[in-house]
Amino acid sequence: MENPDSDIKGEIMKKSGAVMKILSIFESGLFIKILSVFITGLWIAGIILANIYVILPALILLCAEVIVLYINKDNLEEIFRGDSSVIVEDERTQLINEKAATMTLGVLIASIIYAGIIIVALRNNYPQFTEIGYTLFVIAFFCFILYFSSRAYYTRKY
Amino acid sequence: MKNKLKVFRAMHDITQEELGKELGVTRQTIIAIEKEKYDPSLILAFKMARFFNVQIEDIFSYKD
Repeated sequence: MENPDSDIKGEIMKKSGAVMKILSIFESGLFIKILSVFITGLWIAGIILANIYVILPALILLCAEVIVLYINKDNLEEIFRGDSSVIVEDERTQLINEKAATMTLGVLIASIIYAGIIIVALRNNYPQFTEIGYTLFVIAFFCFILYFSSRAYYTRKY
Repeated sequence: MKNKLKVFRAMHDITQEELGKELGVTRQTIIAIEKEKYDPSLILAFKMARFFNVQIEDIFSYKD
């Protein structure tokens, strides 16, 4: 006759094994990768189908992913690096990225502002585009806000 | 900043690729440092000095 205690123990072991498997998926970053691919797929499907019921879950899942990414913020680089034996990014590439990002931001903001000015200045000739001009100003404003808030964050950090 | 990285690398008979792997940087970074196009961080400079078993000043020198 089988011992009921060993059955319960076996059941607990099975369950804890499953929990450990789930935890290892979380720790390895596989969950984040799968979630990222799934969300990207939803966004693409949403654009193609132009359906709110596809975009809405994508938006909700994106919010959930941001939380998961924030929790794992310290090992994000490791998660998305792939093969860890191959060095693809180091301090020099980081410096290059920083410089390229700063230049890109500067050129982008200047282009947006100048395009906005031109469109708004031509409002008597092309009144149908005036709103686009104001939208460009708002985008430039948000870029400034984002830039200065991240600057303030990193100034405090370093 | 001047450096003698190429000399130390030749003395230890190690390739740029191997040195990069040892220090956790790309081969391009080693090339850039040797050509004095890029000044490494203090951490990387320490890693290099430790790898060649010398002082940082033996590899790098600063002149105004």
